[in-house]
Amino acid sequence: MVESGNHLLDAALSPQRVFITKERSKEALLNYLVDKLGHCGEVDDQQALHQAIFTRESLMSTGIGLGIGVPHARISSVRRMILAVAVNDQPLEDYEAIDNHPVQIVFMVAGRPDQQSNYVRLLAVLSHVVKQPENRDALLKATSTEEIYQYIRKSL
Amino acid sequence: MQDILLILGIGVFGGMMGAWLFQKLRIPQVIGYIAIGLIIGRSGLGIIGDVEIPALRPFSYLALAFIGFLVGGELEGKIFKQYGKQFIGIMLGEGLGAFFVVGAGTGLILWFITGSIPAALAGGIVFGAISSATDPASTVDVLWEYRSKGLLTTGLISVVALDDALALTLYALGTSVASLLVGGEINLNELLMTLGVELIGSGLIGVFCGFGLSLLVKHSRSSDRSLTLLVGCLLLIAGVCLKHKLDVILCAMAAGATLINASPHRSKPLLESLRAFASPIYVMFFVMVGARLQLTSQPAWLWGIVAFYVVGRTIGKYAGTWIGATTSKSPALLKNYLGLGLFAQGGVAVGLSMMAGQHLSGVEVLDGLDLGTVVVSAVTATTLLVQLIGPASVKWAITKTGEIGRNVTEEDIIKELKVADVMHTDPATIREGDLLTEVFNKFSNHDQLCFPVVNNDGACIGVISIDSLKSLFVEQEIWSWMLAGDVMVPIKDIVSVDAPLAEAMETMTQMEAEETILRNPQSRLPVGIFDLRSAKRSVSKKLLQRQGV
Repeated sequence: MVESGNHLLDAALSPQRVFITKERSKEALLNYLVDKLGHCGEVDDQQALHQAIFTRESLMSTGIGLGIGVPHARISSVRRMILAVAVNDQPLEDYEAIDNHPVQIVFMVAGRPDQQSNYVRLLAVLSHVVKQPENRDALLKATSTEEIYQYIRKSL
Repeated sequence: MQDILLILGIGVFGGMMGAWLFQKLRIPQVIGYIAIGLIIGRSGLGIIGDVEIPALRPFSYLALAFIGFLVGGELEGKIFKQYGKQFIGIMLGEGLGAFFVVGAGTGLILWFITGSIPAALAGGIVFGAISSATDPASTVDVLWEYRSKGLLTTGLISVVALDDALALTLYALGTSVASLLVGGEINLNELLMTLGVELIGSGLIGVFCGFGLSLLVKHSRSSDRSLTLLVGCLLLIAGVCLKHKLDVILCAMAAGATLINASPHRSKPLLESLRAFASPIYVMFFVMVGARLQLTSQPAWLWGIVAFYVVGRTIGKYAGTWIGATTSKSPALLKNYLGLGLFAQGGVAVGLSMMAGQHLSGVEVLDGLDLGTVVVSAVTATTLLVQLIGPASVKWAITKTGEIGRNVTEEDIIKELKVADVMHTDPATIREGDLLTEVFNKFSNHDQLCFPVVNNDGACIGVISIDSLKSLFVEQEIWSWMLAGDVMVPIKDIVSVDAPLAEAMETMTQMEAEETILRNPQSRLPVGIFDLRSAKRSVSKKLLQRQGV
């Protein structure tokens, strides 16, 4: 069954998985988020998640334009669909986004292989939200993870 | 009793071995059963001998009841409405054709040998009457074995079902005339009365049983119970007919024909069940036919009668069919080929010869040899010969008219096929790195309901189906950055290429899957798509081809 966007986001995101980071490369930021998701209790095999995220990046960058990155993967060692958000203090020039602009806001999504419809729905909702300029500005100006978390929930 | 069970075991098992061997030689299985009977019977090893044959006689009557009922079950009224006149015309033609040719020829030979006109006429009439009967059992067995269907098949079943009555009538009239000719005491009125009672009585009891069965079938909810009732009814038919000297085949045939026409839909599955149930009884019946035949040393001129009987009967049946078909304005197919399917001679002829053996035992043709013995010996020998020629000839006729293999159902086709026979080969593939925009293009440019998703090595790692694409139609903003690998469903090898189609279809139905990708188990390269809808379409197409539609 396909669930509604806000319900999916509520279930996938928690305040503990929202971060303000100071990484200096795409690889470092992705490793940071994989590590956080790997330790959140919903992933049985962090190494598999790491490999899946980077394999996906090798096919095509998940920089979707307008400073946004959406790395994502579906693997069987994830118990349920989860989301981590990082707002980096600086734009990352090496993200190789489709519009060639640096990436500063990253949403990492991990789901199970059998969750195709909800997974697509969540990615579509995130893409829609962050493509609004006022939402992006609000996330970049936020000073705390709680503020980012609340804003994302409110935007949906 | 122990011996009888052992003999039944040897008979059925041996018969099946014979059938298997003959099928390998592309010869109808019924000849295999009879050949095994010959080997283990009176003319061979003697395992089934003079003691066992009478003990197994009730069994043969039961088999005749089964055969008669199944043949009757093929006689649907709608066919008679269309071709009834033609079938009756052909039946009269072939029966009378054999009667006159065999009667005249054997009569001449007997006159030449004995110099007695009455004895020659009596012998000729009896031989002619016996020769008019066609064996429905072995004829229909060939039609069933080769799943034959069509006008010729229907014509053959109808004619062999009807000509027993003609043979009985000719025999009754013939023996009366023969007895009169050789000076025996015979009351023609009494004989005609007996014949009338036999034919009408058998028919009426059969019709009554058929209606009774149709009522039982309508009210029975269990197919097992219906089958048990039917077998019970056939045992009753065989028993009553034996007790009252009625014709078992005719009675059972009338019951079968009544049932199929009274409740066609409910009785067809029942007839199928009976056919499966009757299989070992059938095998044993034909083994007994072979076992009963006794080839003893006979005077040379008797072999002349045998030879003429076989040749004359063949000519008489074929020419008679042609004349009957022409007179009744039958289609050319019936005119040219139906006669070829009427050569088999079986239980009715042997039974009539036994009766003639008693009726004519007092007529001496030569020193120490009576006409009754001549008839029994000659008919036994001719039965052996025509039982070898008859079924092969039936097969030839249905082969020539292309009716072999047409009596098939979807289930039969499905049983014959494997997944590889119906799968869509060389499917177009999608690479895991293809953007969704390219995926949508693939779907619009190819007539495929699903696509295998392959990695850089060409190995299939997932599948995208038209159903899974539905959720993406509304999410157009992700089309430019989502890849096929992001939305594919991981592949599950639920069906293999060499799996039987029936098994694969059942698996798919259980898993509620409409289509699946087939992979090479070693290389994991996609080799095809198995789609339930396409598979069903292929099966329907093959069915129509096989049925000649």
